[in-house]
Amino acid sequence: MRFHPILDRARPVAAVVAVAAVAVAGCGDGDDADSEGGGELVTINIGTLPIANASPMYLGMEEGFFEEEGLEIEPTVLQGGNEIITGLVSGDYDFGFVGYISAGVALSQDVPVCVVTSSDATGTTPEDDWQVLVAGPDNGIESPQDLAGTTLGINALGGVAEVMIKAALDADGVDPNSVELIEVPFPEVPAAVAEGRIDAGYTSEPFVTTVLDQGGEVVYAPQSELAPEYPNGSYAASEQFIAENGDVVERFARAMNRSLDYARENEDAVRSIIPSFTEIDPEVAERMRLPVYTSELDEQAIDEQMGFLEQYDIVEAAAPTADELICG
Amino acid sequence: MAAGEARTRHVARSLLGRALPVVGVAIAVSLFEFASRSGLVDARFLPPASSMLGSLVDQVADGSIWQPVGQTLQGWALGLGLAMAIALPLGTLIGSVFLLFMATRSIVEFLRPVPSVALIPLAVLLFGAGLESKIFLATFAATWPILLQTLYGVRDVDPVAMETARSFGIKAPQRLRRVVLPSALPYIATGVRISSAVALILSVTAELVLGAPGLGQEINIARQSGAVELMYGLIIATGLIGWGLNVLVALVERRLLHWHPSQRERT
Repeated sequence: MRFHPILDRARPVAAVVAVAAVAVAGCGDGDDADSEGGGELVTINIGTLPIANASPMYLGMEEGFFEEEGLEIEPTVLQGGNEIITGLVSGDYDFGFVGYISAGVALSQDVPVCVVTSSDATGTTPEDDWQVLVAGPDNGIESPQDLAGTTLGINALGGVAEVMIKAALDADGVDPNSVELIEVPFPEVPAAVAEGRIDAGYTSEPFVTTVLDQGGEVVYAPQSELAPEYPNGSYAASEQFIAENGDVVERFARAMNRSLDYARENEDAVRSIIPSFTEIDPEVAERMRLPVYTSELDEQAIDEQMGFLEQYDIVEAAAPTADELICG
Repeated sequence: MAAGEARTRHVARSLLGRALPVVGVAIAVSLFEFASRSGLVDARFLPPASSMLGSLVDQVADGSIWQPVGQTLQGWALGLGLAMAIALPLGTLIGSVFLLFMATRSIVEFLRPVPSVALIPLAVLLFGAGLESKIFLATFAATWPILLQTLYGVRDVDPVAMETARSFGIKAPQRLRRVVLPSALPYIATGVRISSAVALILSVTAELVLGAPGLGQEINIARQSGAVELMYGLIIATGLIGWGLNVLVALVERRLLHWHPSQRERT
C-alpha cells in the first residue's frame, strides 16, 4: 500500500475548501478590493512564506511598484502552501505564493485556484541550485545511480519534492521507486543529515548553506537536472477573485512582474532585503543561494510538471494542463 | 523551649519551601546547558540554555517581543473569556437539570476529545485566517474543562445542604447563589486554571499554523530562517507567559476561595 499522509490530509481540506467556495459564492460577499476610490490605494492581502522567494514582493513594495498601480500590499506570513491555498479560496488572501505543483494538485481536486504570475525558478546546476538534496560529509553518493536504495528526507510526500526527485531519477535511468521517502521538514534537514538519520535530505535556503557550512555537500539537484531554470513558485488567486476583480488582478500582475524583473537584475537589493522579513542572518543572506526570479510563465515546462503529477500517481484525477492552470 | 524549637523548625521549613522551586529551576537549566556544552546534543540544533535566554533578553531589550506577546495574550484573554461566558451558565444549567445532564452526556463526551487543531480547516472556513479563527480555536478547547468542572461541581452539591435550604423555603435563585455556586466554585476554579493554559496553547498554535500575528508566527519565521536560538528563546517566552498566567489565575482563585479548606491548608 502506498502511503500518502499529505494527500490524505489534503483531501478533506480540499473538500472543505470546495464547500467554502460555494458558500462564499452563494453569499455574494463583496470584497473590499473592488472598491476603488479616487487616488486611494486598494489594499490587497497576500499569503506568503518567510523565505527568500518572497523577496521580489517586498522589493516591489519598497520601490513603490505596487503603489504606482494603486495597490497596497498586506502580507500574511504562513507556514506552508496548503494553508495559503485554503486562505485563497476562503477569501482571506487575494493572492498567494504557491508552487506550480501545489496549485496543480489543488486544481486536480477541483479547488478553484489559478496562477496569476510567475515568481521563481530553480537554478541551472547543482552548484547554484537552491532547493536540492544535501548530505553529510563522506556520504558515498557520487552519481544519481548511488541514490538507489537510499532513504531521503523530503518536506512533504505528494508535493513538489516527491515529483521532482522521481522525475529526475527517471530521467537519469534510476528506478524512482528504489528510494525510500520520509517526511523531514526543511529546517530539520541539517540536523537529520548530521546525525545520519537520513542518507540525504531535500531542503531549501538558508538550510543548504547551513549544511555546506557544516561540511556537507549537495548530492543531487533534481530540478536543474531536469532543465535549467525549471519553474517553481507562482502567485495564484482563487477563480472567484479573478472573475470579480479583473482590474486589480491586471494591476497586481503588472506590478509583480516588474518587481520580479527588478529582483532578477538587482541581486544586492535582494540580499539586503531578506533579513527585513525573515530572521535569516544578514551574513548568511549575503552568500546564500538565491532563487532565480522570473516574470516568465514557461508553459512548456509547467505542462511537463503537470504530466509528472499523473505519471507518479500524485493526483488521482486528471492533472490540469498549463493552459488550465494559468488564469484567464 | 519547645515552642521556640517548633518555631525554628517552622521557619526552616518555610525557607526550604521557598528555596526548593528555585533550586529545581537552577538544576534544570544547568542540565540543559550541560547537555549541549558537553556535546551530548548538537549545540547547533539545540543551543545551550544561556544562548536561548540571551536571545530572549535581546528581544526584550530592543522591545520587539512586546507586540507579539500582546497579540498572543489578546487571543488568550478573548478565548478564555468567551469559554467562561459559554461554559459557566451552560454547566450550571446542565448540572442542575438531571434530564439535561443525561441527554447531553454523550454529546459532551464526544466533542470534548476532538483536538482543536483538527478544526483548523473548519475555523478558516467559518472565520478566515485571522484573529477570529484564533479565538474560535482557543474558545473551543478552553470551554470543555470549565464546562465539565462546572457541571460536576454543581452535581456534587451536598444533598443535605440543598434539602435544608429547601425546607427553609429558600427560593431556587437564592439556593443557586448561596448553596450551589459556593460549593461548585473550587471545581470551577480548577477548570478555569486548566483552560487558561489550553487557551494559551491554542492561541500560539493558531499563530503557528494560520499565520495570525503573535508569538507563534514569530516562532515560525525564526524556524524557517534557521535562527535556532531565537526560535527557542521565543518558545521559552511562551512557557514563561503560561507560567505567569497560571500564577495569576491561582492568585485570583485563592482570593475567591479564601474560606475553602483546600486554600486554608496552604496558608
